[in-house]
Amino acid sequence: MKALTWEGKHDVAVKNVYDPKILNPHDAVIKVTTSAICGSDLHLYNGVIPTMEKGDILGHETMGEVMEVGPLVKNVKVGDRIVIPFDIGCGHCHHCEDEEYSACDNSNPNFMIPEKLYGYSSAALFGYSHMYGGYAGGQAEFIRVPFVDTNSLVIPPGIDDDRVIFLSDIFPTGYMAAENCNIKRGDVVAIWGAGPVGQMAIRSAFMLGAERVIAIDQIESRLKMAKDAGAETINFSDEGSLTEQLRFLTGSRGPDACIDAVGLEAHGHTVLNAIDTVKQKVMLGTDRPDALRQAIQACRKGGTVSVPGVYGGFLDKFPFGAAFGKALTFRMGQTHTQRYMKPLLERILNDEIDPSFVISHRIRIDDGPEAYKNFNDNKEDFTKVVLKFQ
Amino acid sequence: MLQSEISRRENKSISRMIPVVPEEGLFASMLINVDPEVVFTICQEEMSLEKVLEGLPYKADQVLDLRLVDANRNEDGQFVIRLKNKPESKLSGELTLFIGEAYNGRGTLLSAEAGLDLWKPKSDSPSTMLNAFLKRLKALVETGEIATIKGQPNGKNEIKTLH
Repeated sequence: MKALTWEGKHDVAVKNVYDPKILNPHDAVIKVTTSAICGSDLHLYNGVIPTMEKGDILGHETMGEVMEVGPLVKNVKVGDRIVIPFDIGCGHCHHCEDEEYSACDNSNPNFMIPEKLYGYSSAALFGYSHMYGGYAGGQAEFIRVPFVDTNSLVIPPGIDDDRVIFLSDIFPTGYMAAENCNIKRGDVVAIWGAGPVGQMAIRSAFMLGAERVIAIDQIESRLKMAKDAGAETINFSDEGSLTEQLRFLTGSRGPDACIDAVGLEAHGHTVLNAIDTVKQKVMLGTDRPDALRQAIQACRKGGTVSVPGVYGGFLDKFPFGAAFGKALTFRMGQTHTQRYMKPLLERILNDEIDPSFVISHRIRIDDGPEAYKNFNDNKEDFTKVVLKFQ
Repeated sequence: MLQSEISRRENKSISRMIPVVPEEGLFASMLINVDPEVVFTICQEEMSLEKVLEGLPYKADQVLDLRLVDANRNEDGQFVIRLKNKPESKLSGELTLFIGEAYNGRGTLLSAEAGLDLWKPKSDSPSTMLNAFLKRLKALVETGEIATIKGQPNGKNEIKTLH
């Protein structure tokens, strides 16, 4: 089969590799029909996520048709169309039973790496480094899905892939980010990053009762998309302090909740971000957390900072004093995708939202390497790339 | 013979295990989300033991080989399983598993204790391998399988370069 593979920093290739097969009794093999490139795949492309290995198959936003199931699979059958969540839950451990799927105890065969780095191992992820299990991803013609009874949502016939593919990650991720804000009717939510997750967070915040949403980015096409959803916008490249603008827009109270949908590769024009960038380049730092610093600074006293953006290592000059002094609440983490897939499918079927609005490009797998480059270098035009296999 | 120091909450009708750190040797414990009887049964299966052992992240000449020598219930109501290195092994260590109901209704608490002669680690904390052993055992008991990526496709095993 053809697959997009990670060959090193800024190097993605199309390779012809062996097809996946059933390895464990709860596995299934899926023929991929649609797969997407995520903003977090760009962290891999830019070489800032450790434990990637040359030849790893990329991709964690995937859907397709079930071709084969293992002998102990109960809820999924050959021929079903399924969306696959990006995080892998076993469905049986304490965390999965509590619907904390991204904290699964049993899905990561390389649990010793995160245990050493983080104390405990979280769930494995598809196509996202060996620290997160080393599973082959879905930017390929076929994918093996472990514990498929837990890691699938069967899609009813007649619904186009583009409407439901983002149940695999960005829609639940944006939704959980908004839910983590504990939004009360009338709240103001500020969102750093108007990329695909930010866009889903904007719409989810409104769904959950936010009165106002303020989207922050420097890419005009993305800010326009945010405006289309009813958000106010701030282009942080323009003159003026971001925190002053947020203060003004909220009558000096600050947003009730702030969402960092940027993560460890923040862009910006602050001195601290310049230092982060240099440190990251010379391997003296791991993450560039400037969006998170700003979110903490801008959030109102007693407010909530929600972090769906990916972080990997250690944060320099983290304003914990401000967080403590303002009694902030932090909510974060990889999304418990399986918890949200079904209720969010209902919202799609009820025409409350069509997540396909975010797609800017539909490509074939042969154009994958070029798409990675363009998505990374030209965010004005490339919002979301989906790979089509049919 | 190793002695586990397991305290008991006398005010509870069911005996519950709370592990106490032993003064010497290797130790690890694991909460398992099933009943103690199930853990006890699976721990006695030779095939299960082999499955857990074969995938441990061994380095160089480190290999943990174990066989069941005894399985019973102690006076506190906990299940006790004794494992030893195989007769052909260069080592002659012993591993004892204590299986009982976990605190606060959290399924089973599996506690393991061993002498330092169970295997010869060259690096890492000696208990790291014991923890990995329990973690794989927990996965097998809870899900019926142990997660793996061995045998999956990878660009390293490319059939033919297309680009």
